[in-house]
Formats: sequence, structure tokens, C-alpha cells
Amino acid sequence: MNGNGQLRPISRRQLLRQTGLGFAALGVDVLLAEEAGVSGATQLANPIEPKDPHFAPKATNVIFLFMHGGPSHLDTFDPKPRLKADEGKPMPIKKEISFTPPDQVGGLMPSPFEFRQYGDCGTPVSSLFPRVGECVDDLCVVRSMVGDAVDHGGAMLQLHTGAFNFTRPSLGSWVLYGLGSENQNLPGFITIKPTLWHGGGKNWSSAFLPSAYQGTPIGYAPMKVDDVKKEPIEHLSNRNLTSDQQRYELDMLQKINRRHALGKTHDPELEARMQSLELAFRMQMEAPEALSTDAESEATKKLYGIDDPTTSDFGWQCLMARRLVERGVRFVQCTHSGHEEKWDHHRQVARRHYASAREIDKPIAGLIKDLKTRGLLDHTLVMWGGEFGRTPFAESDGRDHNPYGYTMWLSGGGVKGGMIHGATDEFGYHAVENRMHLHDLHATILHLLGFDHERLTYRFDGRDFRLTDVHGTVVRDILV
Amino acid sequence: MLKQRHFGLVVATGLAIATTGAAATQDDVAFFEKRIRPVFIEKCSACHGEQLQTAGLDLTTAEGFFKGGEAGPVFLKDDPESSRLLAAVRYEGQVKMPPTGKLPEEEIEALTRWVKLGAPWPDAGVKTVTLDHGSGPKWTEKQENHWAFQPVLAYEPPPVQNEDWPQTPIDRFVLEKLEDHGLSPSPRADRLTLLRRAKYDLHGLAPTEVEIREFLADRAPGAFRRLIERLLDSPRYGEKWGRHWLDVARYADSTGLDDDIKVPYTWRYRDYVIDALNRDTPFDQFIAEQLAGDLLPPEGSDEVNRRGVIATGFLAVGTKPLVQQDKIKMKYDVIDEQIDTTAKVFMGLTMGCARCHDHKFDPISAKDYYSMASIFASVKNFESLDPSMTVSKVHLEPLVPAAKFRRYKDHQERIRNAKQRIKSIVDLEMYRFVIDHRSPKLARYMVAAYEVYSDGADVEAVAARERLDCEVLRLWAGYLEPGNELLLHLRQWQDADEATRASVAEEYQQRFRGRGFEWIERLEEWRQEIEAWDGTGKFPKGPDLAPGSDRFFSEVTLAAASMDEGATNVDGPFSVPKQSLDYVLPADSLSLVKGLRKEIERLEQSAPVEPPMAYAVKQGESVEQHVFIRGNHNNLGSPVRKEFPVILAGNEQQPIASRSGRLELARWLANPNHPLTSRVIANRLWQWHFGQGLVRTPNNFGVMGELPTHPELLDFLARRFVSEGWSMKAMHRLIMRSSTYQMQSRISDEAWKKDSANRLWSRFNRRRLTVEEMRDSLLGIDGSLDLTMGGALTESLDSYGFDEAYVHPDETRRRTVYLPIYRNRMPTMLTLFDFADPAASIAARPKTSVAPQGLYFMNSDFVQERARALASHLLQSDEAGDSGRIEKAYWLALTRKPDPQEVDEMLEYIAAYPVRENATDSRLERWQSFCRLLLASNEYNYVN
Repeated sequence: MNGNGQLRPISRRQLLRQTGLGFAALGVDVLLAEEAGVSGATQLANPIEPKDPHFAPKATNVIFLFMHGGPSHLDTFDPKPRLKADEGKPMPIKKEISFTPPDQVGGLMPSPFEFRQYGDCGTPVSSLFPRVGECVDDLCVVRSMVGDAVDHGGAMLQLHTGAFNFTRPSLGSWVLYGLGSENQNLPGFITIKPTLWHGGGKNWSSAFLPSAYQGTPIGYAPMKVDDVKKEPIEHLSNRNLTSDQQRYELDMLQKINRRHALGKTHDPELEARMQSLELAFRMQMEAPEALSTDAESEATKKLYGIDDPTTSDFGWQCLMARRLVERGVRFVQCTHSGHEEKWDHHRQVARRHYASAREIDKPIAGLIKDLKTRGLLDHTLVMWGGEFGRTPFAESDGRDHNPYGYTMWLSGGGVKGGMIHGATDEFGYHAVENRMHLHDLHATILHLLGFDHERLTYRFDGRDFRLTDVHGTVVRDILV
Repeated sequence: MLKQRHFGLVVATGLAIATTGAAATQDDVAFFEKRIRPVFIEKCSACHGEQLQTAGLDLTTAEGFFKGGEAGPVFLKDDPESSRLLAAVRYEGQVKMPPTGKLPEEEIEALTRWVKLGAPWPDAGVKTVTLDHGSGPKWTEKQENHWAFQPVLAYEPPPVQNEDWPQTPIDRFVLEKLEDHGLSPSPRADRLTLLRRAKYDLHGLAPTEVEIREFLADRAPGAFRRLIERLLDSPRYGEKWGRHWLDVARYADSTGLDDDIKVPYTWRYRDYVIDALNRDTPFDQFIAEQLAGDLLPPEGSDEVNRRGVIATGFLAVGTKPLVQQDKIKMKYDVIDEQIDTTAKVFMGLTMGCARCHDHKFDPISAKDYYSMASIFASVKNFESLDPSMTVSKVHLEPLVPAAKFRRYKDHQERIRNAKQRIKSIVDLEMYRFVIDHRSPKLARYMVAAYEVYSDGADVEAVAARERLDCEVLRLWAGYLEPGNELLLHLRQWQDADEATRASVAEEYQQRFRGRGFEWIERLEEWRQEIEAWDGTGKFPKGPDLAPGSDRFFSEVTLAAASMDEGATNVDGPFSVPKQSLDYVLPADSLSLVKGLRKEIERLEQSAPVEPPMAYAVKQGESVEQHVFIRGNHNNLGSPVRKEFPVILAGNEQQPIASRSGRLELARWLANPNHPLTSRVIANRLWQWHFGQGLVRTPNNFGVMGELPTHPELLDFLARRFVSEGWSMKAMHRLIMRSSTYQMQSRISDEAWKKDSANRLWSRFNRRRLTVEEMRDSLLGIDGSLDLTMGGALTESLDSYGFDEAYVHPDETRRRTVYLPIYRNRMPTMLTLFDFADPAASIAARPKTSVAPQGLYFMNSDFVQERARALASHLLQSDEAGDSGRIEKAYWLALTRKPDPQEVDEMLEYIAAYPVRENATDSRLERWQSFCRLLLASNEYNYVN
């Protein structure tokens, strides 16, 4: 646990649970270790035991609503009247690297969607998100996001892991590594229907962190929810055996394992493996309840739009996120994607943004309202956004990628509601005011969870790594 | 201070720090490097840097900063608060910098703080101090004297008290230390334990019944030696030890990173590694082949050194960000990956750290890094760096002579051109047909369609009345009927009312025809260009319809399959179905097309077979490499020569004259006097046998790495390795014949108390099976393992590009080493059981015990199926009764005979198993459960 939050003082109950996991076996010969130039010995404790962060956290859980493809900030949360005034004129600012071939760069393209002010704060939201608009008093809209990669894969990797040209642990993995999980019968970092494109598994991988911190996928983007429900987590259910049969078998297995361990004292690994089998059995018994929405009321399902085929997929994802967070899962990601990106509209941005927004407006508003009603929003940080925004100039009748200035929003978990942070230029191309780089976002998220992002480190190949590498500043303006 | 080194180099150290601002303390240096220099480089250097000094100001060097610009100094030593720098960044005065937007608050704060401190600039007075040639490295004594940079010395195996124990020199080094610490070695393991240990160690498989019988029957002295020889002679050895190498070589079948593009022919490198291990290729040759095999002469009369080319896959198979749009950065990211991997794998050095600045801990300067980069910069890794290619392509190297390859390419080109010719004819005629015959009725179709979709009129009746084509009208109705979609190009139509509908339709028709005439003109031009083409140069490129420029026109005329992204998935109402295309072609065009089709057929029949290819590198053009200041390729520092790191090769190297330098690099690494190469590989061999190295950070022998537990033993092994002709098999023999290797894995209380981490080697390290060993031996247990070697596992492996599918481990019975590895889509089984993530060189796999592993054993189809297979195997065997079956199972799974009480216990277990009432084969179910628990047991999953 190099530089990481200390383990909590061990309770008797924990001690009992952990003795087998090697706590009693910590009599490491420090002398020999020092001779070799190592600071301490690795300990074999339960890696996802709850841990205390550096200081009192505002948020204990995170829900990330990831919009695969890169929604246009100009058509959602960042109105630019100048685009209407200068419609069709060539963009007067130098074009940064992007995908549109030079001969296909179109003129400035205004948003076809009307913006309206919502809530007490008056934050404007376009007609794509009327229901999310109703929640603006709980949202902090960051209009000055900046990333470094202009391609989906690079941008997604940077959003999820901080780095776009190296493989690094995912944000969720860092959070789980730092905080552990409150629920030992469920994975601590779950990603619902993630896309296998653009970094794929690397977006929820633990990279060089122990694999106990990797994200556990529930289905994949192109799958239908009904198919996901059959076996939400791989290998979670047994199609052939009853739980009585499994228990009978497991009892004998543990009996022979214990006998095998006799005379093989001081091998915490053997014990750890026995524990993992027990844990697996408990998970198998308890996880299906958490992963089923059957017990939810009709009213709740309606709130998330599960009754409507247009919204049922993302509604189910959002409801699942709430259920998991409620049960102590540390980090949950929902992904709005499918066979292809839902928001990558180089062509027909109006038509396709309209279609995509219809699928998520109600579910997201439902989630915010539900979390609030249940008192979960106070300590749950909800984030919305894609891997980048889109350009003010047209590419055919769509918009190109724009990591130079775009919008994400945050809600709950110690973030101020009803505010707008930062601004892009009058065309919406570059963030110019209170620029918030992805590293700053990561630093801020870790801060909300109680970590100094410079001190949450892990040593690998002789170097201390952290989520924010050598960058990142906590954006205090948006904190409660 | 001058110091003579054994490895032939002279090193100067010591450097005076001159400053024009305040003297820099260590904290200042850190603050400056972290918060200030990056701002100057990233935000200012484009205009105020080495290349361009706008207003005469250079903010990238201390000299430039303190000199100021044309308008005077930017920093006032005596009144720092009034420095113009601060006014400019605060946007207070007339000059507002940077002009693109105010700096973030924290950067302004940092600059203010720094200016107030008196602007301490650590390397002030010297321009790019550490980067210049000849300025001499500024290493500390600790760095310079670091053990790993000292020559490998010859140590005699030491005397020990217990002279009976050592069987090899290794044992003396180990025992000496144990005796020093008052520990005694663990007793020798029994024969069956050694058999199982050696078999998993060298083959990654459980001993078969035959092997067990054979070994037990060999009662003569030296039976274990003979076993080792048998194991080393089997090709299974290369499959196990090749995988060790593939871990450090970060082998995978896709590019990883952004779009994880699947690359063909990767497997040839994997097969090369397995084969090289089986042949016991000397390690110095192994290095040369992997770094520069393409530059080595081919064997015999071959024109191409196929083996050598394939071996350079070592450089090629790393991650590649193919979708990165800054193609120069992409090139240098790949070079970085290759330097980092090469340095880690062969030297245990983390050189990648020196890309942006001198290495923080090790005596590796940025100049050293870029000297290495100059070698790799001339390697061809990509087909091209053309910035208009959204997704760049990797270089694939033909394994046939160039002329033969060109013949193949030319032939393919001819086929492509013929197809383009057909397209040019068909497209033109199709649009002529649409415009001439269909478009005059467009407005009528629209109005009639309204009647159908809005008023519910019968489509056939309306078509008959209006004398329109019924099927076309049906398509129009479907196309125009408003749905949930937002279609801006149909808004005018949808907004029309009774009074305006007909005239709006007329407008649509006019626009449609206008656009159609334009488009036909462009298609005609293309045809003319093709007619005029003289067969040299590029075949004329067809025009781009650009559907986005007129959504209505393209939606109406195109079939769904030809539309661009995000379009409807129905055919346009005026699209001509593929099967009808021939009917719209005039006779002369049709005969042309038919002729071309025949030609294509003929060309395809006579096409030369696709030449074998490799995912390998090629020597490209030599480049003049500069230091990139802070790793930024837009910010050039001084030029560098092709050289090796100064700490190892000295300050006065003969610069490499050859175009490449890779072969020189390989020879330099494989020099017996290189202090790192032989130590690093000797350490790896030890680690792969014992679970831990003598240096426990095998990829980092630098200052931040661990020290060797047995430095003399490490040097002994390194020298022995070289003197045995760099033979790995010789090392296996040496190690496996030692008493150290043959100890029990039991941990005594005393050993645990004194040395829990087993740094003294008082016992053999018990270890869990790797995922390959687990899967392969589960398949092998009933003889189901397919031992076919090499090749691509599926046809599609030889295609290139995006592919969501991968070969699921359950779909094949081949050894795990042959499964394709897509970096971003790793099979759950592999990641679950600690497979080496090929994102980077992996020196040691992580060890985890987590619940999902338990779930895998309880519920996965694979374990279920394997348990059933073993159960059937047992039930079908002619063993004497159930006791005999249980005994057989123990031999197969655990390499031992069960105790009588174990047999009884299991018989009872099987008898009392709670079979379900509706079970189809209750006997099989009971035995399956017994097999499953045996296979899930710790005893099965660990090697003692």
C-alpha cells in the first residue's frame, strides 16, 4: 500500500476474517528486506477491505454516465448565439488537428436546438434534454473541459485512465485501490454495458494495480438488456447445480484443502485461495438479488423510463447503478453506446443527437431525482460526459471531434449544484475561462473521495505512479 | 573526478550550477521543473522558444529569460513584483500573454511565487545544460558506483561447512549465506514432487501416467538428470519457456491502445520464439535476431533472411496508437515503446523515463535517450505517416524477394482497377437512368405518397390512378412518413399544408434534378479520365458523392448499403436494386461491363498466391535526431549521434556510422563484458525456475531496483552463461541439478521467523499454476489437449483491421500459448488468473486470489466440461472398481497415490452426493462432482 491510505484499525471481526489471509503472517524479516533495498514486504490482506482515505471524503461513491462518441456541447449545454449569427461563414480561428479532411471543412454550424433556462439557477439546456433541464439546480455544468487526444481511443483512455499513450489503471481501479469496497459480496468497481471499442477493456483495467481492482463488466454495449440479465456477471450462476449440491461439494473441497495445508504452515496464499472460494460462494448467493430490478416498484421503473422501449436500456442501467451504489459498490459506470457510438455524429448531427438524447434524458433525470429522494446524492458523485465535445464548424452535416473545449457535468457528492464553471470562446471551440483539463477533473474527483491525488500512488517497476501523473489541480470553485 | 571503468569508458562528473537569478535550492529546482518550466514550454515556447523568438524573447532558456526581449527585461531582480512577465500573464497591461487565453489561475500563482523567489532557474547560465555534447554528465557518486554498472566479476564458489549438501557450484553460494544466517536448507523433495515440479517447470503440464511410470521405474542413479534431458528434448519445452519470453517481449496480436487493431502474421514471431528456445539458440544470437535479424545475412542461397525478419517482430509487436492524429508524435511514441522495452528486457534499465528529462534516479540523460532514439528513428514501423490517414497502417514485411512481391501487388492492382472501371460505368448509367426516367415524376411520387401514409389510401390504387410504379411509391411512402426522427432536410415537406404541398414537392424535384445533373457531369468526367489513363501513375480516383452535402438526393438514390454512417437502413425510393443494374445499362455499356467482369475473373484465376508476410520492421531512412526538449517533438534541442548510454559505453564512443545502428546495438548488448545483459538474463532464468529472481525487480537493475540477494552467485551465473555459449539449456541443467532446486517447499518455523520472503533460498517456493498451466493440464488430463504446434489459430488472424471477435479459450483445445491475444479484449479467463498484460514488458506476473477465480472454478463451462471429461474417462477406464478409479484420478491430477482413508472418504462422498431427482446420469454426476473438487483443490493448483 505504498503511499496509500492506511488500513483502518482492525476490528476483532476483521481480524478473525483476515487471520487466514496472512495478517498473522506479517513477521517479515525486515533486515533482509532492507539489505535488498526494499522498504517493506508486501502483505497479503484482502485487497478490497474498506480503507480510510487521506481526509474526510465528501463522496463515497461514484456513478459515471459515459456518453460514447462525444456529445456536442454546442447542442446540449453550451449555447453559442454567435454560430447563428455567422452561420455558414468559415471559422475565423485556426483549425486544430482533427479528422475532417481540409477540403471538407464546412462553415460555422448553429445548433438546430433551442436553449431554455431552467431551475432557480437559470442554467440553459437545449431542447434535447428537457428532463435533465429540470435537475439543473443539482448540476454543476463544466463548460471548459480540455483533453489531449482527438481520437476516440486516445480520448477515452485519457478520460478513463489519465493517459492516452500508455496503459494505466482506470479511475475506478484507483478509487477501489484507495477506498476498498463496502460490500464484499459484490465487485467494488462495476461497469455496465461498456463498449469493447476504443481502448475496450483498458478503460476498466487495473493495469499494473493488482487485478482485484479491475472493473467487472455487466454485459457489453451491443447486448440487449434481457440477455445481460440472464448472467449479469460472468460465471456468477451455475446452470447445472443446486446450491445444496455446491455447498456439499465446497465443504469437501475445503476439507481437503485444509488437510493439504497441514504441514504447509506459513503459506498465506493457500489460505487466501480457500477464502476466495468461500467468498465466491457468498457472492453467488447474494449478488443476484442486487443485480435484479424485479423488486423495484412500478413507479420507480417508470421514473427511469424502463416501461418505454426507447428509454428502457439506459433506464435499466441507471436503476442498476443506483441499486449497486445503495449496496456499497464504490464505482459504477453506465455507458450509452451500442453496436456503434451513440454520440459520434460526423454526419447528421441533428437527427442523430436527437435520437440519442431521447434514449437517456428521462433515465438520467430519473436517476438524479431518485438518488436525491433516497438521500444518496449527498455522498454519490454523478458525472456525465463523453470523451470530447464537437466542433462549431460543420463536417458535412455533422460535427467533428473537439477535445479543446467541451462540456461535462457533475452532480452531488460534494459538488455545488446550480452552477456553471468555465467557458469556451464565442464559437465554442476552445475552453478559455477556468480551463479544466481531464487531469484536473481526476484530481478533483479524488479530492471529493478524500484523497490528495499526489499521494495516492502505487509503485511499479521502480516508479511511483498516480492517476494524474505529474499534473492535475483540484478545482476548488466547484466544491461545496 | 576521472574514473577508469572496466567496460572501457571514461566518465567525468561534477557540474557547477550557475544562476543569474536566485541560487536554486533543491526545493526550488523541483518547483521550477514541475510548475514553471512546463508552462514556459507548453504555453510560451511556440512563439518564444529556440525556433522562434517573437519580440526577441526566448523563454525556454535561462539565458533568454534573463536577457529579456526587444522591449526590455521581463524580470526585474530588484522589484520582482513589477516584472513585465507577471503583468502580461495577469492580463493587466497592454501586453496580454498568452494571446490564446489567460493561463489558469494556479499557473499564474506559480509564476508569481517563482518570480517573488527571485526566479531561481536551476541550469541558468548554461543553455540546455545536460543535453549538450561534451558538457559531461552530472551523476552522483552513488549513481556511478551502482552495483549493476560495475563489471561482472569471476567468483569462486565459496567453502561451506556442510560439504555433503552442494551438488553444483550454485549450492555453495546459497549454503554459505544460509550458514551465515544460521539456517539450514530444507530437505530434498521426494521423487514424485520433483517429477511434478520439473514437468510443470519445463513443460507447463502435469506428468502423464506414462511419464510417472517411466520415472518411477528408473531406479539407477541419475534418474532425475535423465528426466531433465527428456524434458529439454521435447518441443513442449519451447512452448513453456517461450511463453516466459513472450511475457517480457509484451507479445500480442493487436495494437492495443486506442483502437486495438488486429494485426496479421504476429504469430510468426511467437512461433519463432518457441522454435528458438527449442533449438537452444544462443542468447547472443537471439538478441541479434530480434533487434536486427533483417540486417543479418540469409542462410544458404536464400534471398531473404526469413527467420531474421520474423524475429524483429520483437520490435514490431508493441502497442501502437494508430489513430493518433499527430503522426510524428505517433512515430515517436512507438520509438519510445521500443527503447523502453529493449532497455528493460536486455539491460533492466527504465530508459523510457529519460524521454522528457534526464532520468530522475539513474544516470541516463535525455541525450542518452535520444542517442538510442536515433537508432530506432530509422526503423520503418508504419506503411506511411501520411497525416490524412485517420487510422495509420503498420508495416508488414514480405518474406519473399522484393521483385516477387511487386509482381503480386501489381496484379492485385490490376484487379482493383478493373473493378473501378465497372463502377465508373455502372454509376454513371444508373444516375442517368434515375434522372431521365424517374426524376421527372418525383413531385408526383411525393404527393401520392402523402396520400398513402397520411390518409391511409391504398397504395396500389393510388399507383394505378397516378400511373406510378407501385413498388417505388411504397418506398416513397415509407421514406416520407414522419417518425420519431428529426430530419431537417424533410422539414419543409413536413411543414407543407394542403395549399402548398404540390409546389413544395415541385421544389424538391427541381433541386433533385439540379443536383443530379451536376453529379452526372462529375461521373462523366471520371469516365473520361479513365479512358484517357495511359496505364502509368495512379488510376484516376472517382468523385465523392458526399451525401451530407445533399441528404435528400443521396437518401433517395442510394441503396441502404451504400449510404454513409448514420443514414436510414432502408433503400432509397429511386435506388436501383443490384439485381436490376444490368437492365438499366445501355447495350454498349453492358457489353463493356461484361468484358471487364471476364477480365477480372481471368486475373483472379491467374493471380500469384499471396506471399508470406511477417509483422516485422524494416530499415528506413536515416534521420538526423535531435533531443526533444521535454519530450516534445516540436521543441528541438541539440542534435545527437547514434550512441549508447554514456554510463555504460563511455564518453568517447566511436559514433555508429551505419545507416541503422541496430546491429551495432545488438552486438554491443551481447558483448560478454557488458555489465547488464548477462546478469539480467541470468536473473530471469533463475526467476523463471524459482519464482523470484536474485534481483527481485527483474526489469529494473537501476538505482530504484532491488539489490541482488546473492551478488556473487548472480555474477557466477552470468559468467557461466556466457562461457557455456549463452546456452539456456545449459543453465537449466545447472540449476535443476542443484540441491537448491531440489529442496522441499515446506517452510519451517525457523525459516519463517528469520526469512519469510525466502531471500536466502532455504526452501523451494511453492507456486500456483499459471493460467496456461492450469488450462493446458485441465485439457491434458483426459488426453484432450491438441498438441499441434504453431500457425494462426483461425483464418481471420491473417486479416487486418477491426474485429470484435476473438478466439474464446473454450473454443479450442490447442495450448494456451497459441491463443490469439487482443490487448483490449483479453479473455476473462486470462485476466482472471494473472496473465501478463501485454501493454508493456512484464517481468513478473501479479499473484492474486480473488472471488471471481472461485466463481470460475465453481461455475465456468470450461471447468464443468473438464470435470465431466475426467469423470467419463475414469468411468470408461478398466480400473478395478471405484477405488481404482479414485486412485487413477489422484495419479492424473495430483501425481500421487491417495491414502486408503482418502479413498474411503471419497467413496463415501460419491455415494452420499445429493443427486437431483431428475438427473439423467446420476453416476456421472457424482463422479463429476468428485473430479471438480479435485481439480479445484489447492493441491491440484499448486506446485510444491
